[in-house]
Amino acid sequence: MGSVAREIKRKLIIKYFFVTEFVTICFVVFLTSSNFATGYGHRATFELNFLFSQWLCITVYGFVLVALRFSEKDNRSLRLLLFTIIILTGAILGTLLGAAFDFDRRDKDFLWIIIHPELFFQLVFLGISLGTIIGLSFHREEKILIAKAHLQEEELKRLANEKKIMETNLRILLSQIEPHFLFNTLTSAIGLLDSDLKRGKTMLLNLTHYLRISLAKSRRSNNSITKEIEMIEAYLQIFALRMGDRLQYTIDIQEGIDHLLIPTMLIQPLVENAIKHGLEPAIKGGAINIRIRTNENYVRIEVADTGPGFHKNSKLGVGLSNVKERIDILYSGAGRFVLDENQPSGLKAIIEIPYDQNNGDSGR
Amino acid sequence: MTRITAIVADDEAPVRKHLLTQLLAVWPDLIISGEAENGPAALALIEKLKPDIAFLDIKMPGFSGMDVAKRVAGICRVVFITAHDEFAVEAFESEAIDYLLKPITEERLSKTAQRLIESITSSRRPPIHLPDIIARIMADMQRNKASDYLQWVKVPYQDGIRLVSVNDIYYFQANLKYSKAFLKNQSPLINLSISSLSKELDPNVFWQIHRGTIVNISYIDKVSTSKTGRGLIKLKDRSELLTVSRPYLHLFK
Repeated sequence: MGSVAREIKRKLIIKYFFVTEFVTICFVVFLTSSNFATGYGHRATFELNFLFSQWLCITVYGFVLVALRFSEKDNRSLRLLLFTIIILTGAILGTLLGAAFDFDRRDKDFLWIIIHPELFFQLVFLGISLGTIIGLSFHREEKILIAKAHLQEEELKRLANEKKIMETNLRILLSQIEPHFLFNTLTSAIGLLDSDLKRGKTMLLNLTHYLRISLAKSRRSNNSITKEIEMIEAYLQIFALRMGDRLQYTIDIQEGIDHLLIPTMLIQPLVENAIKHGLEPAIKGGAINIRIRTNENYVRIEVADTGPGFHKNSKLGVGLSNVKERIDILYSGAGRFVLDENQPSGLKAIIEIPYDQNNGDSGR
Repeated sequence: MTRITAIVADDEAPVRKHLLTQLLAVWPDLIISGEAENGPAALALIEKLKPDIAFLDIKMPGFSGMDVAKRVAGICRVVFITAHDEFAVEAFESEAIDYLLKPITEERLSKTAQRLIESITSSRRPPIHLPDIIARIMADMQRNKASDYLQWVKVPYQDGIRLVSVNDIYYFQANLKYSKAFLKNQSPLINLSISSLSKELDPNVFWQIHRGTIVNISYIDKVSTSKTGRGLIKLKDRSELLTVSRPYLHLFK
């Protein structure tokens, strides 16, 4: 924001310089065409008036810019006081300077104008008016432009965030219809239908169940723990049938928290990762243990496997990064996702997300 | 004429059952002399039984079907089975290597069977150049996977290890042979050098700004120039300034 504000200020300084110049020229024309100051021994030639006006107006403008530096001060009356003092000083100094450069004065007394208080005060008043008008409109325009730029930036941020959410949603959608999973499951189902009709049917029913919940959910962002776990169980059942005794699993949920809402498809990638990188590469298979607990403010979800853990996993990857990114976006820093070593072996993924106790809602 | 024999290797029993059923329907004369459920078992089985054909699932525990194929070329002909692996399938197509997609259709399987019968009855010699081709395909696949950037780094945590997402790391600083990762509130040592990090991290997010510093550009707050002409980076939430040495200054132009 800082550089944008500076850029706006720079543009306005130039703009209002030209405004001041315009006023100066008007003033010159006025002085030249009227006999405003002629009564005090001032010769109303264009050059003399031009010099005089330039000195007056530019000095005032310079002081306006100084005064605007204090426009950020919080205290309103202090701000007003500072502004008044500075503009007044500018007007007096400008008038004195302008008068001092009126070379035509025979006596060459630089402060000649002081002995004509009437003229002096009129000029100072003109300077104050100019300073006040320029200062206030400058300040107002600056505020408006900065607010606009701010709004634009917010809008950009919002759009970027929206884009991010859409991207992750798309990735979730793509991950739940992962072709490898689908084709392998269908192949296994076909194989089972040839040999064990009952288990084949169970497999297909589980697949249907998993697809129904996970696909319906992509349109909503939250789901109760019950529903979410129902889907995870269907998913694990499918793998239990496919992998036989190479897969064991436990699901342990604290009592009374089934109704709490959690983001959809948050646990599934962790389970998928545990199977893909933890159990499938192991000849003997292994176990997946899912645990959900709450404390006062957080839901804590753990997915642990007994696979090779970090050591072999050079490309432990995109699925887990997606989860991390989603938690960062959804909870803007209030959620946590870490991967720890599981004891005695394997990987333990831990999610901690805040939830609102009143409506059981966790997040948006 | 001796009967043609084959073994079937897949880690999922129902999939083996599926393949056997299809084979029985399409090629009733084929003798299935054994089944295996992982890479090492498949290899042992082939070496023991010396079948004419091995149907090998690509993704198996222990080691993959391609690893098995590399070692048994010359002993038997290989047919790969895969559910979905675009990269491998493309490679098989271009190298005319036999493969089957799961679920296996009778139509496709009978084509494969025909080709195998022809090849076995005509020459009786399995192709010997296969290991080289497979090794090349595997290297290509590896390279394809290696393009994934480093996402997680190991840091010591309490008694064990924790993985930290690189997105949470503000910057890396060289520390002897290794480097230090600077997070919001901690700066653990990690066992990767700055030069290996600069190769493995996503260059769109992590910029090397100094011989010993890699910064996560999403945390940059301000960049300014010092009196000596070097760049200074101020990061969000952190007070220290990072120096951009001259060879890297162009990044910020």
